Amino acid sequence: MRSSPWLLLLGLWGCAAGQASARGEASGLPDFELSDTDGSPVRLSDYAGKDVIYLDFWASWCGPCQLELPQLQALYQKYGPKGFVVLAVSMDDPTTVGAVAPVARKNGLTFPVLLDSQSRAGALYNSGHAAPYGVLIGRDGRVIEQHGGYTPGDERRIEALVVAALARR
Amino acid sequence: MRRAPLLCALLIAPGSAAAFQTELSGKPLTVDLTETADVSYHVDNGVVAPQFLPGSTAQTPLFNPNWDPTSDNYVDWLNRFDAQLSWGPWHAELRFDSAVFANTPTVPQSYAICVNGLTGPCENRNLALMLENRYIDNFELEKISLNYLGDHLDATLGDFYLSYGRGLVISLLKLDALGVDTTLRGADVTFHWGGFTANAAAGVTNIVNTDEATGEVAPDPEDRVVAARLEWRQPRIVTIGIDGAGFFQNPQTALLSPWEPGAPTQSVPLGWLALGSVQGEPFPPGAGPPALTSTGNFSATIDFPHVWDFGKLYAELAHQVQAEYTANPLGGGASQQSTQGNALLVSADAFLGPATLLVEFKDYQNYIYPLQSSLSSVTYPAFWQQNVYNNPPELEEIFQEEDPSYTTYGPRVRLDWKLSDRVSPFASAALFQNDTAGWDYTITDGYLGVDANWQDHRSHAVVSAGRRLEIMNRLSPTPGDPYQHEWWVQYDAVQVLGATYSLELEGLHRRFDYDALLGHPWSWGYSYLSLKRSAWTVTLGYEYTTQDPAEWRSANPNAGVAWTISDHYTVRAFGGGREAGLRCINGVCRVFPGFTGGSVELAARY
Repeated sequence: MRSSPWLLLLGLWGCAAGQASARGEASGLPDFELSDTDGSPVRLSDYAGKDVIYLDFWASWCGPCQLELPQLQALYQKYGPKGFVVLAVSMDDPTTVGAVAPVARKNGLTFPVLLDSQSRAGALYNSGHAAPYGVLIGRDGRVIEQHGGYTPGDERRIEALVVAALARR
Repeated sequence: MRRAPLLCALLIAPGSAAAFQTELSGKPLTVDLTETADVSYHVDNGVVAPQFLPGSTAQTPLFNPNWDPTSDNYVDWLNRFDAQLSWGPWHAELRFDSAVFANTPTVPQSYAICVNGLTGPCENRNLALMLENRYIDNFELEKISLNYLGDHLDATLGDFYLSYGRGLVISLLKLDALGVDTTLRGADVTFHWGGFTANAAAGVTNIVNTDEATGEVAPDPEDRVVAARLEWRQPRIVTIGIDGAGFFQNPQTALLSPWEPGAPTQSVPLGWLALGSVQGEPFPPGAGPPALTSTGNFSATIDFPHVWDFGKLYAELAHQVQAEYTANPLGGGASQQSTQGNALLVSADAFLGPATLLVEFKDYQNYIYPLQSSLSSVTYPAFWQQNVYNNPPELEEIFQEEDPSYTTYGPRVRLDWKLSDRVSPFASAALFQNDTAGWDYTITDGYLGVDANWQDHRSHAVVSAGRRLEIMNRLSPTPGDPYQHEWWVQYDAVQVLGATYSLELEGLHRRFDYDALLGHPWSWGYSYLSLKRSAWTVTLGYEYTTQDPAEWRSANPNAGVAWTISDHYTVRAFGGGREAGLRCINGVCRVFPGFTGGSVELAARY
């Protein structure tokens, strides 16, 4: 009978899974839910299939990330009204997560900044745990590009890809 | 956080969209495969101490206890294969690891006697013991999980990471730069209902069994962990939570301690579905492990993300109960000792126009952290140090070495002032008192710096310098005298060169004017210069230490290249030396051996 709690758990899981209406299916993208710095839950499926999404994995202790964030903010201001969104996924663990909101404020970020200390989004889209690491997703749910690291000038390539993705309806 | 900026810039990151996508029963099915292979030739581990002391002869050898050939002249091939499959709300993932070693060091004949007894010219018994758990080929299904994410339910069977609050209660994480990747293997269920979230998790701890830095291997601790958290949130206003976790060390793992060199051994698999194994040395029948602990951590958290739009406030209050069972090594009864502790962590940000003020305060009273796994610190030193189960914020600069401290308290304040869109100076001051085990240890720490950018944020520089004074009355020659006095400067600057190139210089220099432990001043640091183009990074580095020139190589030049060959392939090559020393990432620290040699890493994604 040692396995009975596991069987019970599996059964509950199966029942709940059968009743819950799953999200994230429309786009075909693996979905995740994280809290933003305001404590609001945010899911990838809130944007997938509607917007062009740039998932930016970053951390408060990562120098190149600090360089990239203002560039992403500029792109978001320019193309946000046309359907482009940046989801900045912080990889900070509990010891440094307190620095996330001040860094976001310092860089004037207005797009959602999400907290992923348990690597829930990271396991899906950044298994190499690189920072910064960008994933550009089209409106059709297809991953257009994934790119690790940041070198000044990368923002021009990202902008060209965003413009092309926005042009595809 | 030594070298973290460079590491994060160079981390292998395969190029653009490569996942395979099709349809199954009308739903998209995505398959994502990533393969990473790393081949390294280790010339040595930076130890320059000779095998024999001056005056040694063939007839009367004088062994140098600092001589260490355990990492010399061998090759390793470490391979990692990740496969992910997503279908609607379902997501499955597995990771298969392999480690193969060639030309590995063996115990020199002159030291063989150390294995069989303590007689004879044996100066370093640990040398033989260290090699017992190194360089063992292993092929293993390292991680496997199945996740379902619905509207109200998020459930995982298999391996998962888990942390609550700021890590006081539980923090099982992945920190690649330290070789840490600890998961719970079991079940993790989270329900969301309105503003409520309830999480429950249970399982056994699962580590990555081969330590890349040392070639050391260890079995999974399989310590039992149960945890639960209940949270209520009103977005933008408040999040309140209570949580708890129980940790129960696995007696079978704790038994794997060296009892007597050369004692009968038993084969212990390195993990679930692993082809590799170590030779454990269980205690004789009737004798228990030296100590086993069971720990319960509980906390309440409150988080105000906006305090009248002027800032934010976070507070966590934790309580800990720990029972330690100590067995009589010769058999017979065991004794039990219980301890209790409390911890308070408060963090507040104030946003006052151009100024951001961060105030943090910790008060940990006999609160034991980090909680270690049941792996023996003697048998598995590389793993014991890194595989920890909770890890609260120290509020220190994360490159600072921290002694395990259970009773410590004090504030840290940091002010950032945005003078313009281009220039932001900052300053920080901290004062901590550590009374663990009667240390009477006072730390004062402060630094000043400036963060500047130009060319529309494309060029950037952060420079800071600080001073740290430690007075440990228990160990200082005279109460009130310094125990350690340190100056440091840290820099990271990027200059754009034209449209496609950039130059980065980053480094850290630490100068210990006074060190009561070593008895002489010393310096430690590194500097890296990188030329970057979008697909290319070429780096020249120099690492140095004068801590102990008789034992460690003082100067370690190196060079590296990272190249994104195509959308599917990335390669990184490194040659030269890295110094030994403590490396800290996000507050978790471990001592790395030095490395001199070359390595090539190839990552492919399909």
